[in-house]
Amino acid sequence: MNNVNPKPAATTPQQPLLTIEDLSLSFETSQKGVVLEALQKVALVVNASQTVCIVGESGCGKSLTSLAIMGLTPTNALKPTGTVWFQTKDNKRVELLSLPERELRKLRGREIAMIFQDPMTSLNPAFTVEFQLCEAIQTHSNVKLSKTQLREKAIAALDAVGIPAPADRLKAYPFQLSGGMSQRVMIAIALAGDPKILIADEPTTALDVTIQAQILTLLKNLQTSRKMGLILITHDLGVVAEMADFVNVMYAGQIVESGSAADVLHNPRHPYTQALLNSLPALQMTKTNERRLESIPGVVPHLAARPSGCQFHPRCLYKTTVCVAGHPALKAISNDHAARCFKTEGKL
Amino acid sequence: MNTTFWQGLKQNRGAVIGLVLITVFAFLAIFAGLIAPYDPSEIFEKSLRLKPFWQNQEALQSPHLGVSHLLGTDDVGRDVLSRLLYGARVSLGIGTLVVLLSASFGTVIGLISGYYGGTVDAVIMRLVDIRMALPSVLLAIVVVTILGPGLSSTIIAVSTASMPSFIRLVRASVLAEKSKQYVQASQTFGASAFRQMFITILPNCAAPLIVQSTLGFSDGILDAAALGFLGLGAQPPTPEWGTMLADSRAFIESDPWLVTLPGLCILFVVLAFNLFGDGLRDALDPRLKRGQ
Amino acid sequence: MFSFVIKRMLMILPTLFGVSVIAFGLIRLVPGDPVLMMIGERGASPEAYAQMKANLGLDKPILVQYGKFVSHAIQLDFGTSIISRRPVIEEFTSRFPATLELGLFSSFFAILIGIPVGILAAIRRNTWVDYSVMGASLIGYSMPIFWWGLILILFFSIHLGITPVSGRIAMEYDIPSVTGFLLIDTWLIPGAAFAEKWQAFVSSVRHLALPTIALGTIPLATIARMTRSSMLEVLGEDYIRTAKAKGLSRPRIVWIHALKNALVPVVTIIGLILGSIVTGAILTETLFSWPGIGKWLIQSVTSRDYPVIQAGILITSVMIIFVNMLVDLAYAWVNPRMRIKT
Repeated sequence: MNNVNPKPAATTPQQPLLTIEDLSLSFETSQKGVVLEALQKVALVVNASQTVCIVGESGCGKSLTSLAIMGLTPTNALKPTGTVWFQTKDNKRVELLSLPERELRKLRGREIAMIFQDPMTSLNPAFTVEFQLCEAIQTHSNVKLSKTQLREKAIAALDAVGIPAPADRLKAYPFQLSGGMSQRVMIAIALAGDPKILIADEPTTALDVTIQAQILTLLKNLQTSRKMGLILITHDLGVVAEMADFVNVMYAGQIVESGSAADVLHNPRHPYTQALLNSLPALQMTKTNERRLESIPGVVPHLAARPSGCQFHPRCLYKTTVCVAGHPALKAISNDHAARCFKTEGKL
Repeated sequence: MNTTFWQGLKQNRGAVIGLVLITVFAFLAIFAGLIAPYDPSEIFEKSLRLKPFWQNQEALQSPHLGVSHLLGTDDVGRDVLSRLLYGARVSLGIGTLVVLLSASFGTVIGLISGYYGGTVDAVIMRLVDIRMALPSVLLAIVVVTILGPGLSSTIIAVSTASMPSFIRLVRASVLAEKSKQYVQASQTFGASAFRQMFITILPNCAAPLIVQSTLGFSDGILDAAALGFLGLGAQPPTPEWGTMLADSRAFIESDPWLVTLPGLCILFVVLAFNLFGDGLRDALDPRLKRGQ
Repeated sequence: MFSFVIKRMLMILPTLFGVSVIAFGLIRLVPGDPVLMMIGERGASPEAYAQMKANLGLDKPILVQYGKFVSHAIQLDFGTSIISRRPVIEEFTSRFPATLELGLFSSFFAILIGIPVGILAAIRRNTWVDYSVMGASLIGYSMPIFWWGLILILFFSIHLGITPVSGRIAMEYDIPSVTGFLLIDTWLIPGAAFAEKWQAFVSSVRHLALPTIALGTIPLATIARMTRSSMLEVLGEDYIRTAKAKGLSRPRIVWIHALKNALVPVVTIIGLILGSIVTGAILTETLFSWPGIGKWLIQSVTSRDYPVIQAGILITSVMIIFVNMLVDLAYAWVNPRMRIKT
């Protein structure tokens, strides 16, 4: 097993927290021998104190990517392939995909934590906030804590995520909390192990618009104060504009464009990114030139009916015969800006 | 029925086995008169409790005797095979009648209860509660006390016992469908209450109704056999499996097959309907489809 | 919660009324003259006739009769048995513990095996464990229990000779009734040595074994199937994913986070299996000559002992109504949403 690098000296301050390379994931079907590829050679990098956004329409593989990092892919999925290197708190480099479940479990919550789309269903309805939060605190604590100690820590944790009257909230059951409050509790639970990376899978999609901004601000503040890496999964480019340091645009299980937030939002090179930006009213308003709001024709292809060639070509405004036949590679445009399009490859 | 339904059903091995068994039993029941070697009530005074062919050395050696009573004879000398075959007719007949009665009455009552709501619904639901307080055998005791034991009492008791599940199922579907736009739309077109209930709403609860009907068969057959065993149902000499079992209880030590064979018949018929019903549910209910 | 309790308790009133009407109407719906039917045409002297009619309560206007019937029933006065000439309630109370003991043991048997087995099938989904549990439960579910009991007798009593075929305890024991439960009363035999008590206890356990299995099989299969599907549903919920993301161990996720949610609907099984326990008890008691309510009721149907039939129907259904109400209240209690909001 070479998933643990014995030499911590090899690490340098620039060493990323998380490096995903060639991550692929397939699903078994009821027909024998037929598999559906849900993720194709996904690569991305997360540094400390960095917010990395994964953007795309639903069904493009954003959530699967994050579940693969956590080792929580659905039971009908095959084992993911590729590598996911992670830098632990004690400066070991581990490869998450080949890590046995027991080892991986120790990392969950303590090194990498995750919050989910619907906070109302993500908390266990049968237990109080106190039970669920204290359980997380105790799981990630190296010593056995007394009931009072746990309670104090739980109150502090709720306070840290901006919950008023935290001592009273401890006794509440999840159904007694609002959506925004539930998501704050989820964040408190996720941060109980003081993780180095927090994965937030569409954390505000299920919430009211006014609450969304509060939760995003909270995440931003917590990330800054804790120097965490934050992987933010969203379909909302407005959220990306507000939060992201680095952006990965996904389409049909592939990353089609990646780059700094400034590059991707202001100089998009993939037609899909451009189309996403054109369909966004909020960003349009800030621009002086008035254009029509555009929608992207068609839908994300179903895994069982993938198109030939470039996955986006059936919906692309610029498609040519090259796009139907060949598979474009993710090609660097500038230092850290890359796009998966024949146009940027100069073949169009 | 569409092709995906049949494909789903075919993939379910249990459902296929169930359907095959049901077909076999139905065939035997319908053609019992042609297949059975004897009349089920015919008494062979000289051959009482004859052993079945696998235990009867004599029969194995002399083919003539073996063929004459393949599964032996009972305590009064009736041919067991013939009685079992005619028993299939009785059991499946009871099952069919029970399902027809309880499903049709249950559907109509459920439609009315769900569609009209209010006092009508409250009264019907309290009646369902009352029935729930009287499990099938208690209900049968009531019916038998009034009408006396027999097949018609059995059918009345068992149909009444299985009606609430149909009422509840249809009522729940109606309540769910009633709020949907297409029902409200049909109302704006001036559809009559009858039309709304039977033409607009009913087809949408067809799938669970079919599943419930299949499972109703197994419950009905099992309950009817239980009543036969208790002496409240079919009366001798009717070749009913439960009654046959009760009659031969005394010979369990000496002639265990007399008890074993009718019981196995009940078990297999009930199992067949349960297997098929479970398979139907999986194939008809998209939520429970395979791989999801 | 309080208003829910009151509402649920009020809901049983129409049901109680309904079953009382059925029990009351029973004699009156019998074709022919029930009085004549019971004393027989020949012995019908006018005095005997009038006395029987009064005994059955048939000599007053119908509403008065019903009022009397209900007020007597509330005082547990169900008249006198035609056959034994003893008060019906006395007969009932002497037989009820036997049925209760059998019913309770079968329920424990079904619950204590059914729930773990259902959980096991769910967490080992689509393995041979799951397939065998589901296969066995389907057969159990389809089992005619009167036949199953006979097969058990055939194997354990006749073939192996380790269990008795009928009754609650061996003939030589005459256990004074204290609790009515022989498993307890055998330990309370006055002046008996430990060895004797132990032997009596073992005898009662051996008598109880086969009826318990026979009666418990269908509920066991029902519970196993229900627990499995409930558990599978819960294991697919978002909060289980959260529990995994927290880094909790698999046993903790299954036995604490999933189980508490999965058991909420399983509480209702007690209500669901109640019907099959009552029906099954009548069959099992008949089969094993178990001296309980079921056997008594069937005998009274055959001998047209109307007061007994009336009392049996009424008491049994009233008990079912009350147990169902308690189950609903317990369901509300284990569900925090119901407990706090309503």
